Amino acid sequence: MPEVLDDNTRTQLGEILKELPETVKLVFFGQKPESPSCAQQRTILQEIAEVSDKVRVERYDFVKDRDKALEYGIDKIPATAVVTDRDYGIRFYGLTMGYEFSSLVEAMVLVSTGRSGLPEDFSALVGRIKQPVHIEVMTTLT
Amino acid sequence: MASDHIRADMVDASEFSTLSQKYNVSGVPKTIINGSQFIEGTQPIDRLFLEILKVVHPEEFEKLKSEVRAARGGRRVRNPNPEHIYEVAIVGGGPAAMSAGVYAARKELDTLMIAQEIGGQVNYTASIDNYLGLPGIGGKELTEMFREHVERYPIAQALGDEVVSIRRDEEHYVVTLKKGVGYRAHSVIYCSGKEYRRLGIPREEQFIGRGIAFCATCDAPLYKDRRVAVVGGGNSAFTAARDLVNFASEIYLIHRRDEFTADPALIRQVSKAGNVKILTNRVVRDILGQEKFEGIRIRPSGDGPGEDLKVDGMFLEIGLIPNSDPVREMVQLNEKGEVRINHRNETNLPGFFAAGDVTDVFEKQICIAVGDGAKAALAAHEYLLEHQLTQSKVKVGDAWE
Repeated sequence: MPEVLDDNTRTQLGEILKELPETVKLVFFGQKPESPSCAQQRTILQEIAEVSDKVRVERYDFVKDRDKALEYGIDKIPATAVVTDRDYGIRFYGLTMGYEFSSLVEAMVLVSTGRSGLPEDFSALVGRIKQPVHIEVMTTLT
Repeated sequence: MASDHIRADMVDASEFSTLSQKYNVSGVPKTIINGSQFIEGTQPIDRLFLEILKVVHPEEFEKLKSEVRAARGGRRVRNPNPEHIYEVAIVGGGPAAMSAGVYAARKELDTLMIAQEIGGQVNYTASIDNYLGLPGIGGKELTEMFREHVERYPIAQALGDEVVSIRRDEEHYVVTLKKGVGYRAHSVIYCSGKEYRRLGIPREEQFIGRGIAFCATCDAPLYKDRRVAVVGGGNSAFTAARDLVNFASEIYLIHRRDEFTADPALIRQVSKAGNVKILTNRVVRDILGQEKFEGIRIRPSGDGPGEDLKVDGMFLEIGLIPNSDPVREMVQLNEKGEVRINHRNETNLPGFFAAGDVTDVFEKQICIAVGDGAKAALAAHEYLLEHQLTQSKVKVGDAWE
């Protein structure tokens, strides 16, 4: 698999990731034999991890590691869970390229700092939600 | 991240085309909350949060909206007082009642609105195309607009309990609620609307909302890939069947006669669908299942052997009945149980007015209910002035102000 991230992106990414207070784990789910999109997503995550020692990649097989898939609530692949020691429930399904690459990096910064970036007075409102909520944002890479 | 209850997936729509088709994605981003609520395009975070709240905690959402309106000075509703004697009590929470509320409040009448819920039948209508100036508006949306309007005025509201009786004392009317509270007023505008007719078979009440439903527009998605029965032969039965065609695996339309009153075009459309089976001259006799709704027992309308139909749900589309029970002993009703009114929305009782679907008004429409609610409030105002029962300084003639 050829390199996905160009030098410029690597440099910028390195600047952002070195500030991360907590190590971020990118938990990847694919399946053997690997589909092209699974292979590509795995490569993207590996390349991100190469840029910073604040990022680790864990790889699982959607079928063989069924328990792990259940633990992370993964129901389709390629899937990437963005977690620290804590799991905030953020998942990316499909390739994190194009605009979604920025979203992924943003998510890494958010989980690492543990701050949602929402205004303070918002937390009282969010506190009103007391039942499970599942948000799915359908996007495209461009 | 702001809440432990929320998990968020970013999904590449082109990679997962089946899911995209399921959610009808035609543009991105499209946000789906709990698989049901859809938001197109990028929205501010507060909008997204409000949509979440609306899906998971509708009551909390309503409360929050009221708080926001109160804080903005746009909501002036007061708590009800059982010790107080109001000038007018409006019974009901639908379009007739809310219109009456606006007109009564603008005549500065000391007004109490008593309703189990705000909106009534309109809440169960997906889209309304014949309300002047607002083509295609959603039922709930229209209710919300009505509600915000009436709540701008300093009226009292007693919501969430059912009216069980209304009687006339020597001096005033007493409206008694199920929980035992009674409210008093010099006049009443009765706008309690209509409700869905039931079959009258054993254990029917027990299964309402747990297998028996009335609103296909609302509940059709719950019956995805499942078998359902629709009972009725009019437009609402065929509309329900049409709403279900894209969800249910099999639909049995059960009608007690062999002729339908629905529009021919609608009948043709539904009959053509491959998953609809029409059973005429059949009646529903019983519900199958103990704790869980498992199906129904049907039998020919005349006589004949019964037959069990395994279905996961049943939609009752057999018409509406007026909610006139609480006043049955007191005011004149017609043969359908509707409250008889004259062109001033007066009933046979002085000071007792009625408006909307509960009355014998010609045709039941939102705009007619709104018009009649206004008329009833103006007539009540006139009545109160004539009998010197109001402190209101507003004269009758100035309806144009």
